[in-house]
Amino acid sequence: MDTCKKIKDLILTDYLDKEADQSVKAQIDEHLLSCPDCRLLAEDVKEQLVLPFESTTRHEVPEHLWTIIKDKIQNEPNPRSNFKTFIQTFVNVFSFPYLAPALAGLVIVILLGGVGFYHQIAEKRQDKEQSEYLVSLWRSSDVFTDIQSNADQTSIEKYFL
Amino acid sequence: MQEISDDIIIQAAEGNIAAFEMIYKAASSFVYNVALRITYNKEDAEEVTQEVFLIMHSKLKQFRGESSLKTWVYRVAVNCAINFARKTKSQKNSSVEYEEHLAPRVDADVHKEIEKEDRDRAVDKILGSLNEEQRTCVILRNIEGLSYEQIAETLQININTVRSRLKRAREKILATRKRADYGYL
Repeated sequence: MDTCKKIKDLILTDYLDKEADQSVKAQIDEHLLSCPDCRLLAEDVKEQLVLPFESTTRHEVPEHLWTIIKDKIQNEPNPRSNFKTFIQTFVNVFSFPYLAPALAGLVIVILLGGVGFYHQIAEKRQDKEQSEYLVSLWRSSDVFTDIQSNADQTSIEKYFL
Repeated sequence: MQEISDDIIIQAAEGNIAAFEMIYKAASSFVYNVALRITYNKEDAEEVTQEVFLIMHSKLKQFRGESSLKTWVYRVAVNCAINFARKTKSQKNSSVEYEEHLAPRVDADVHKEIEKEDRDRAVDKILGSLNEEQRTCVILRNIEGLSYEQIAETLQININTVRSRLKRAREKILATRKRADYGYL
């Protein structure tokens, strides 16, 4: 029974569709010789699942279809022309009489503002660097030590030293 | 789907419309028929086909090598068709609309034509009885002839999932046909 089930599954798939390899096909053919139930299924399958489809009508493609497709292809926007259109639009916008000078002025203002801002930042940085330098000098020198030692000296020591 | 050379793909990716037309000619039959089977509607199938090729045109540069292009075409076609079908839900009129766009035939062998139309209607009914996942697998396997591996790559599922969906679809078809007694075509 289990063998028949497997054979029937194969009859409905690989055997019917000629996807079964030679050894499997040979086994099925041999089984069909001795099993009327499976043989009946194979006959039913051929009659109802193979023959109806073998001579089914293949419809001609309507002739006007290519014309329609070709027209759509030739009229669809080209990616290159899209870029060209973009450039043209850009040029048109900036060729407007008052817009170009206004934008040029804006660019100059931004540049000048940027330069001024840069100078401010540079000055602040310079000041900071100087301060740090002075502090480092201050800490590394003997000035503190001298002042401290001077505070502890007597008046005679101060006179001679 | 017909073979497409690497040169054609490269030229099409560079914007050569004549090269892209060659890709269209190689792939359009597959795309249109899959779209028709999934949407059940001629107008929807045309829209899906347009969408698939416009997507292909815009993203062709990303692909190298024929095999990946084929799988990608399959994938885009199936996904677009499924999304469209979900959006429009036009499956209710499937039988009627499917008949309407069968091209009028002038054929001496009327019986054969009638048989063929009956067979087409039967296929339509078979597919209509399946859920979306099962139907897609059956279309790709039984009608478009894709291998299990190609179906797995197209739908981005495991190959055993392909087997499982096909098996369940076929069990359902057999059970339905026994119950409804469609009779043989």
